[in-house]
Amino acid sequence: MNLIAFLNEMHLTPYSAAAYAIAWLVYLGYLGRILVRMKKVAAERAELERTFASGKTATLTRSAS
Amino acid sequence: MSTMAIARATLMKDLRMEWRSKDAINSMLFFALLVVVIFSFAFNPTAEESRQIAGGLIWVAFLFAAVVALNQTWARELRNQVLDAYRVSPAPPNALFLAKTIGNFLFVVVLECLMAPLFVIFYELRSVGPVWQLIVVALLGTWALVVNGTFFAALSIRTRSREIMLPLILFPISIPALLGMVDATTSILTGEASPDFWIKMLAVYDIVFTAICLMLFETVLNAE
Amino acid sequence: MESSMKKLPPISILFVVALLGVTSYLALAVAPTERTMGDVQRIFYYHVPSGWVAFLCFFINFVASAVYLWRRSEGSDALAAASAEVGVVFCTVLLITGPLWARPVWGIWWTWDARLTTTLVLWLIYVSYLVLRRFSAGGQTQVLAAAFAIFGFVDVPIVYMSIRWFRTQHPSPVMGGGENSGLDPAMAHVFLFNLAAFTLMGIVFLVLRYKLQMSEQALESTHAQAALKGVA
Repeated sequence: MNLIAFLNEMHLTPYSAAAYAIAWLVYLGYLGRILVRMKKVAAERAELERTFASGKTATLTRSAS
Repeated sequence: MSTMAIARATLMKDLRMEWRSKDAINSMLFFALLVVVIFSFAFNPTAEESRQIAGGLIWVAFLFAAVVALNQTWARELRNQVLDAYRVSPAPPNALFLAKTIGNFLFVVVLECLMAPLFVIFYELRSVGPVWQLIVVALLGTWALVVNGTFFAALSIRTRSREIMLPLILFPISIPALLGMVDATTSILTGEASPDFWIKMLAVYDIVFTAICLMLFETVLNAE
Repeated sequence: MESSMKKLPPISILFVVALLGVTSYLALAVAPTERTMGDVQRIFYYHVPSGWVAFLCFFINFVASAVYLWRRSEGSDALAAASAEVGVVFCTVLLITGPLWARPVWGIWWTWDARLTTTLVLWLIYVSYLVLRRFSAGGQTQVLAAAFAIFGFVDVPIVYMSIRWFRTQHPSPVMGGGENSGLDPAMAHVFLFNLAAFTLMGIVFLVLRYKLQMSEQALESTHAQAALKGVA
């Protein structure tokens, strides 16, 4: 009942509802995409640092000073 | 050696090589011809109608043909590591750019001269307005396409899908020039309006973008 | 570090949802109904602020690209990349909400007038900027993209003027007088608030995308380091 009253207050028309829905989708979707990519980068970085720390890398010991 | 001297030398070299192989001009010519023929299937205009649409058709055909020319602008240089040699030499980069641009300009203008009689025949074209104006529009418009096109061809040398990258980044930027060319040509052919504004706009476009290209080419050349 | 990364995302999502929620509520419930166009006019409260943020982003891209060409700092290139992408996102919303507003009010989805066509061309230019960035190989992407950005931005006024002239010669249907013609004070309040809120939202997106770009760049150079050190 509350939802209906709320929606009535919102003065929606088919076109404006579509417009707002699409705007929400695009903005939140884009934000989500950024955050997911940020997580991926952090994970990859952690992975790389683990590899460095584990000492599996070759180091240049005797090369040019 | 001065910029102009180097540019001239590079240009003559390119022209000589092109004259021997006629690669670019042949493919451009054939492509433009194809476009004209295919469009003729879509439109079957009377002489009056043809004047209305010819402006657009002509420039679409020239645009596609110009892209063919532009795509091969730097191909030769790339194949033979000429660009590296150029970067190392003390020659001013703008000389290379000018040579390439003027070379492309000449190729496309030659193409336009060859295609023009064909358009007249295929579409029964006769201009109501003065023909010299058509020539001015053609020269200014061709330069507009070619100057940005040569620069963007350099931008897209090492991109993936190089052949599609060039038109993709060139076309949006060229929209005002294309609009000007098409509308000016239509105005002159139909005699319905004055192309003066477009001629001025194309001139401004040419000056602005030639300046930007000259300012930025060295940066781009060194980045490759 | 793990826990701070876990805390950060939800805050930005909550913040953006709050901004979207408040702006939608103001636009759809609080603002008065327009006399001639009716409730569909409420799209205006999202349409114009989106456009404003898009143009702001493209301007930032222009400045950042110029700074990059001058100073070659990673930060300016990252800002250029971020602002182009955020700008395209907001411009996309602009181009979608526009026709959705136009169709019920003026009966057509689209018209090729100066404003709309320029907006579309703007969108095309910056999408091609993003494609150029994605498709060019490693080292020179930044310089090439920055050079292209200069072209793109300088072109915009030229595009607008040429289409405007074209349309004085060949008139086409015009949609709506200026949105600001006779804005009722209550509407102006909602509009200005949304404008500010959208700017804030744009800044949030910009900052996050900038951070992402910087970390991706850093990751790439770390990868390069790893390759040098002979990691599998």
